[in-house]
Amino acid sequence: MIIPGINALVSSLPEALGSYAPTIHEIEVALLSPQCSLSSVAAAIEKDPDFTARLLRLANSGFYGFPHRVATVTEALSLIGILQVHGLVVSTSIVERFAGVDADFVDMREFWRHSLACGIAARDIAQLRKMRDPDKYFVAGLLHDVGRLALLSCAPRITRLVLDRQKVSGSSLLAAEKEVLGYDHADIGGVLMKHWGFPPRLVDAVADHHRPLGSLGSKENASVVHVADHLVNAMRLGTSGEKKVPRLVPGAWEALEFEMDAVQRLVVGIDSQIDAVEGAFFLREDEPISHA
Amino acid sequence: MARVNCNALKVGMMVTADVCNAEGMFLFPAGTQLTDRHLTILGSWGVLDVDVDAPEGMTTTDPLVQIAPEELSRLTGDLKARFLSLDEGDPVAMEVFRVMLKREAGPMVGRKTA
Repeated sequence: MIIPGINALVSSLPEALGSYAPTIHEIEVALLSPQCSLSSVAAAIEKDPDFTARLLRLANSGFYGFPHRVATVTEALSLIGILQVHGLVVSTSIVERFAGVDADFVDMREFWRHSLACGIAARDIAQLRKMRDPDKYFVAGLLHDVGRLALLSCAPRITRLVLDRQKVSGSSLLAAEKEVLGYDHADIGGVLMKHWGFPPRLVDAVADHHRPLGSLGSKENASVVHVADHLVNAMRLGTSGEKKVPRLVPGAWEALEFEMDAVQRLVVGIDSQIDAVEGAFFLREDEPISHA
Repeated sequence: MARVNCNALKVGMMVTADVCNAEGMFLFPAGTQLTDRHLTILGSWGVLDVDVDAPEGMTTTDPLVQIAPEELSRLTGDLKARFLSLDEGDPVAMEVFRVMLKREAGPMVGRKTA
């Protein structure tokens, strides 16, 4: 089998590159319009009952910890912020896009639990580090493995080669990807995030989450996602397909200038939020992905 | 009164001192009776422990010294096997390992060994 280069591979992934569902597109148009207002965005969101329910559940979950109940989409938008909701809109549409992954490759419910936990962890790390717009890191964490998802969902023959290589070598899935493809899921994720129009700092954070200190963008941003991924793997909250906890890159924690007690603080925070956030994203227990 | 780890707090416990997050932001006052919502708020603000009206000694002790040595040894071995390569010379990697060990030992406290 001829292994394609990264650009050839990405352009052969129609599901990954496809356009958003009509309602998601409408929300995007309202968000990006010069006449954008809370009420115009709320009106577009309310046309999509699934997204409305997700947004309100998330607004009322421990992820935000607002002291009172958030009852309307307009209130949620004003509390959470329009830009953060934009990130949630796009991530939700991406979650919906990849429904057809072979259960032999990975359990999708577990995959999304891992991704959501990584989103929570990345947001909490950015908050603890007092970085600007910590909520944006939730999107970077949520989508950090989107390149692997694209492989699993759209390139089953290549995925089979990677899994076979991992079985023989006993290495990580990441190493097996590099051996078979010459690049890895983080590289693919970076290309996809760029295609979807995410800002460069989120593109770099996803593309470099396994080599944070080699990032040509911000080493700090890439370290946020790397450390989040490491903690969530160690906590065994879902799985991205790796059988074992990958190594914490030396220096990544130090790049965030945290004290040691931050490990415990972050772990407690992630544990307390994951079930509520998962419940907000997935409306039914037995159905990991809602189809519009 | 005891300083109790947030993992061990229960609905109905009474807070005996004002609760603030790490940055000193006020969350709720002394005298609050904890509900599910308070526990969620504590978690989302990363609060580690609070003063509550609870028996002395409750979870103020490290779970790693509360479980049987043979259980701790088995748990340590199982956990090590889960890591691809644990650099025992790296203090951060070892802190993550120690926190995971405590996290998994917590539910074993008070459980009888088979």
